Amino acid sequence: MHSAVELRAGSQSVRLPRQLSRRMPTLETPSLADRGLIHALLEEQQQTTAVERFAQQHEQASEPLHSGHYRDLIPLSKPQPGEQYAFEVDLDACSGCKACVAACHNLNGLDSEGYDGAEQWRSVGMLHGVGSVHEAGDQLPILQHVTTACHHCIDPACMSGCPVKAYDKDPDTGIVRHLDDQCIGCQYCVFMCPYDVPQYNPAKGIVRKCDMCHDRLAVGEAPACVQSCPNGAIRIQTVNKQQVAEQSATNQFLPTAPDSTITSPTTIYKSKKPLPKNLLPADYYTANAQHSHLPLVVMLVLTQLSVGAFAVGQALVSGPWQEPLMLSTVRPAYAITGFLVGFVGMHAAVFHLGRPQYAFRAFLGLRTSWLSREIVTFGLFAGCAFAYAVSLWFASDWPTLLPLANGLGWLTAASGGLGVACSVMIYVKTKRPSWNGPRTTAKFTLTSLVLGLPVALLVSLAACYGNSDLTAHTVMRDYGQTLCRWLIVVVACELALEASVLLWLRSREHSPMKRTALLLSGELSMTTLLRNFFGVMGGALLPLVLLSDKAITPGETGFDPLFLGMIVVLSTALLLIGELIERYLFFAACVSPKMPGATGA
Amino acid sequence: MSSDTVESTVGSTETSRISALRDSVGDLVRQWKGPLTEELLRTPGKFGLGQIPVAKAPDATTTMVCGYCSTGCGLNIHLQDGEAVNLTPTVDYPVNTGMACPKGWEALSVLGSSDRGTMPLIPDDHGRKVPVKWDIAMRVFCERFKEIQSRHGKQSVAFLSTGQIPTEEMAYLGSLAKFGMGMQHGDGNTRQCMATAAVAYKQSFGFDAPPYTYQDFEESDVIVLVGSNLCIAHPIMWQRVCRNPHDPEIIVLDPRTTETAAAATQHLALKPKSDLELLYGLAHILIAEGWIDEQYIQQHVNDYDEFARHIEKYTPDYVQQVSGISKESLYYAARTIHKGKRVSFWWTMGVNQSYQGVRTAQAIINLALITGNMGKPGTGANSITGQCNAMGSRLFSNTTNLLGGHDFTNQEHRQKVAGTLGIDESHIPTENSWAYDRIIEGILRDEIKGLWVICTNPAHSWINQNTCHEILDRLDFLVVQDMYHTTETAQRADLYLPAAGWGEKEGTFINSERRIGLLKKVAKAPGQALSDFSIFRLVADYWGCEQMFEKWQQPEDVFQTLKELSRGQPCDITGIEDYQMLDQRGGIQWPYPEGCNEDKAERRLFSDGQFFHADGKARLLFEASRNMPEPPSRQYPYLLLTGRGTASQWHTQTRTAKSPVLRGLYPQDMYVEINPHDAEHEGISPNSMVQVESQRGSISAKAFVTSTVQQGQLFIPMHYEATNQLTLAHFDPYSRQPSYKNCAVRISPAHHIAAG
Repeated sequence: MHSAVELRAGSQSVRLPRQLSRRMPTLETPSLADRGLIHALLEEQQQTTAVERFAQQHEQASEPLHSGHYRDLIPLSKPQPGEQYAFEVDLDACSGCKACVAACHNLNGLDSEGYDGAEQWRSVGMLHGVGSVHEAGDQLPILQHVTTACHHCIDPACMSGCPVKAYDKDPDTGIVRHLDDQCIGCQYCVFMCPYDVPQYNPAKGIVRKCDMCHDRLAVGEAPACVQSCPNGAIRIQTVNKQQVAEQSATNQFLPTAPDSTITSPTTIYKSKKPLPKNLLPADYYTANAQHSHLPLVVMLVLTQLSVGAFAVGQALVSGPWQEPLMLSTVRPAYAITGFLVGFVGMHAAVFHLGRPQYAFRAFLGLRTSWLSREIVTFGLFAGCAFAYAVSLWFASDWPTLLPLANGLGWLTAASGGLGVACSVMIYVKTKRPSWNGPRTTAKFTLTSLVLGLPVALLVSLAACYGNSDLTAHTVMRDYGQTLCRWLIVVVACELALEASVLLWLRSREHSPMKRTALLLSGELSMTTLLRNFFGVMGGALLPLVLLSDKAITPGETGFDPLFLGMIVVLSTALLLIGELIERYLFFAACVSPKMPGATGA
Repeated sequence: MSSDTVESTVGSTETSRISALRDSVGDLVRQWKGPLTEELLRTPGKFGLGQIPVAKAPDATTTMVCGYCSTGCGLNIHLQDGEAVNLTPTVDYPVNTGMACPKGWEALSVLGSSDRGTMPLIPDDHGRKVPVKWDIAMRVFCERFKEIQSRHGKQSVAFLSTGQIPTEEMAYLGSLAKFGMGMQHGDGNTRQCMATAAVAYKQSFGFDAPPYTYQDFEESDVIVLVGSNLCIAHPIMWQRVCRNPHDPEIIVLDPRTTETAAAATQHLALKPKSDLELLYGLAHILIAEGWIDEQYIQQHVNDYDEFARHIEKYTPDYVQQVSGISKESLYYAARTIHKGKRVSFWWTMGVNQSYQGVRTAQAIINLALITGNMGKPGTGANSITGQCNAMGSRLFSNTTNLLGGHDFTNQEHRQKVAGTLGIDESHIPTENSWAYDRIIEGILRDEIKGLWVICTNPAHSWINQNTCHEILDRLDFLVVQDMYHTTETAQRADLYLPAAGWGEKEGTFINSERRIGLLKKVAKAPGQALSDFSIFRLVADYWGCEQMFEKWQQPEDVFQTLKELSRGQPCDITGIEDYQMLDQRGGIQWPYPEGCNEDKAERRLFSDGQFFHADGKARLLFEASRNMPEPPSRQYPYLLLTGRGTASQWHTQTRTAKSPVLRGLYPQDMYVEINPHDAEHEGISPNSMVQVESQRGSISAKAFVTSTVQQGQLFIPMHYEATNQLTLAHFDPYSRQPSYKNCAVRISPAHHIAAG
């Protein structure tokens, strides 16, 4: 007696549940119908019939059938000099159906995958709050949906930030287009745009964005969003650029939107009922950790380490400890270390590019883009560092080269400093509050020192191994302990600076800085703790050990040189990890002002 | 040829080579064109489409009706080799005039989802779903159901159907189940959305007949919307309101400040479930002020005096006390209705999903009748339906009514249907079917042992979900037939049958304004999925009752039968020749009897004041209002409202969750809307996780603090699976429709769950 019935399904045999099979003794033989009807029905299911069964209705249509709907929603004539096209949104007509988003997607053939969901060039957010007091004495709740896309700004930040000139603002229409094939996928425009417009597609390695359907407009058709809004809430207008810039200066753009002075967005939001000032975006209280841009984390920390090591090293060899031994032993060591680390750091950035094979275009944006400037400056730095290292190598045999080497040393340190300054400007230019000038300058400088100091010490100690005239204890005595003292001070400053962000928690306003503070103390709190742990261990506790007298006492009573070296290695490693985590938080907790988002966004 | 020319030719070749080189170097440095740019190139699309993406340029287009809501928009499907590649809303379709909501725009993308069923599935001993051949599936289906029927009686197997398959499939299913398989009980998920309107109309007008056409939105000077968030639930109907050139007064009755309420000129934010009193209060003022159409009442309306006596006690003072709407606002609204020359009244789920929905709907109908706002452009008491084919289900699903709006208990009707179908009259049940809730109760009482669920998802959507799950698990045999094998109900099935969906089969839908629209076959179903029509044919074949349905080889064969069944009924469509005629006309509204030469695209009912009761008059129906069964208490101090979340979500999200575009347009995680004062009182901070509990269940959700909900009320969208764990199973006594929008809950911060 079988406990289960075996059935053939395709090539595979299945066992029906016992209770089922017991009641079906006849299942083993296929029934007659199986051969005929099922086959016929399956075959029929695979035939599409719409074309053969029904007449074509629009075969002869020459004009777009939608033109009647949008004729009044696009300008009759091209923009005059001093004018450009702009979106105009009638907020009173926007009911939040979001058809514009779906239509833009379909009519422009955007990607359904590769993003955090589907590619969207338009989005719809919501403002809500309590409005004016209404006749019965109650306060009337307000609900206002806001459709938004690229604002085709007068002064597009995406364009000025782009290192490869992958953006073009059409001189006649003012439409800001992205040149997809020119893009190297550095995503700097994503940072630069205050309105979150460029969308990065990792699979393609480029960003894409709204082009106001420029080719549709060119032939008198309306952009997809204009065509598809059931209520005609979106139209294209010609605007006077001068006027837009003036209005932007007084920030009349849209309540809660990012500061319009940054880029002078051209979109016009109009409403018959003026929006009260107390409206909040639906996502006002949402603070999600942002993308962490790991290659940039590595790049920033390592280039700053490299520049810091050079600067500290350069200070050492030109300071009170300038002596032949130092010059001949320590100097080549930090030169080579600095060059190598910097080189690795710069190449880490390549992993951030979607299309690194076109990275050579990065010089194109020199005139406007700090990213271009950073790349070129660090290129110079690497060149100098290499030349410096080489010159030191040869200087040991040909002392006449020494002045050249000295000059190169200073040039390297200076170009490195410039490179870090460019890095600072990259983030400052985005106008994101947590990346503001003082904060970013302080952070990047402190990182240079926090890593430069222990690396310089480490390199010095390492140099002792190859040289019997120089001992770890003398290095520690001459300048090692001074470096340690400085290190403790610098790390303390850095941790204090980072902690100061948490003061924003006391703010009532949910500003971007408060959100950053909320992220650091909430979703990212474990990471913040780790970062502080590594900072304190590597930058305070271990250096304190090195400040002991045993560190400068040779022989039995002092620390073993190997132990000293291990402490410095450990301290450097912990600090490096701490700085990497800090830089991760720099990106992950950076909340930028944005257009109003939707519920649950 | 002189040597000069040769030289210059060589020179120019050289120049062009150099310039080509320069170009290619230039391109390498600043590249304006290339493969990535080409991906987004647009091209003139022909067929009146304007520019469209190159990759999706069609070689033909065809129009079919959308498969989501009852608006019934025409979608212009772009075809390559007969298969759909894209769509745009149809411009010359009378419903939507070239517009669609996001669901319509994304209608095709959900067909390719990876969780489409491709083979019948049977769970093995370990609960793993094992694919089986159709032959096996059909034999298991028949043997199991037959065995249950032989043991527990024929009525022990029932079916739950849907408002989202074509009318022809509904009719086949209803006939097969009741006439062929001998089932007694079957109902549709339309019970959850439209039963109230159907019963209200039937009682008031004598037939389930929504009288309007969408053109009425554009012709009213006063539009009254009751429990309807048109902006979000029916965006394309809201479009018609926006197109109204008469600058209409828009009065919205809704406890929440919805998008529609925010856009209204008068928002009466009444207390939940005080709508019946408020509507009677409006009637009170209209009658007291003499703002009624006495002539119309005399000629076309019964029971006026009784009604006038009934509403006497609904004084403005009383209504103010019950509904929270001031006397002044109420009076102002009544005066607006009086001043209006063409007043239309509309209602949706806020009314239908109520324990006193039928009387509330009729209170709306009564307002239209006593003010004479009926049968004229821009008027009417108009129910806006939910699902794409709820209206088809109401007439032809053979569940509540015998096919074609007939009556199972009427011998003449049974005779007519039997004759038209060519079957023996004895196959037709002489008793009415149980309603949905009674079928569920029947399972609990061991009266129903086998259930066939077609294209609906009760495990998510039925009220008081935890109990519903327990009940479904008591079944001996549960068959689920659906496009997706992942629905909450399909996962519980003993047998899953993979169905082809919208776009993969032919048939017709009937929309809210009674327009019969056409579905076409523009996509191939995945794997071995079969249209519901084909599955019914297979079942008939395996069951052994195929002779009964011999002439139904194609959906259009059923359509021809349905035409005959409608003959002489208010919904007579004998004048519609065939599918081609529907296609050419952009759908046709019923009635369209033989010989009808009306070719207006938009028609309304009752222009002659003749209703479907025997005396041709409409009836005023009314009843004392009742208290809600579970009002907020000390333990559960809040009233939970449920409803539509966004325009991008549909019901249990079986389909909408499959579109990446739509997923980007609605909140992924469950949220609860709470008033700022209540949030403060409960110590709930915005965007934090909270626990919402009723006597039946407990769920966690994110708090969305907003003044759009009133104090003492909470709102959770119905699309999230857990919502119905909270709801209270109670029903309208006439329509048996569940009352989803009122149950008592409490809310508290969920400290243990990290806020994101």
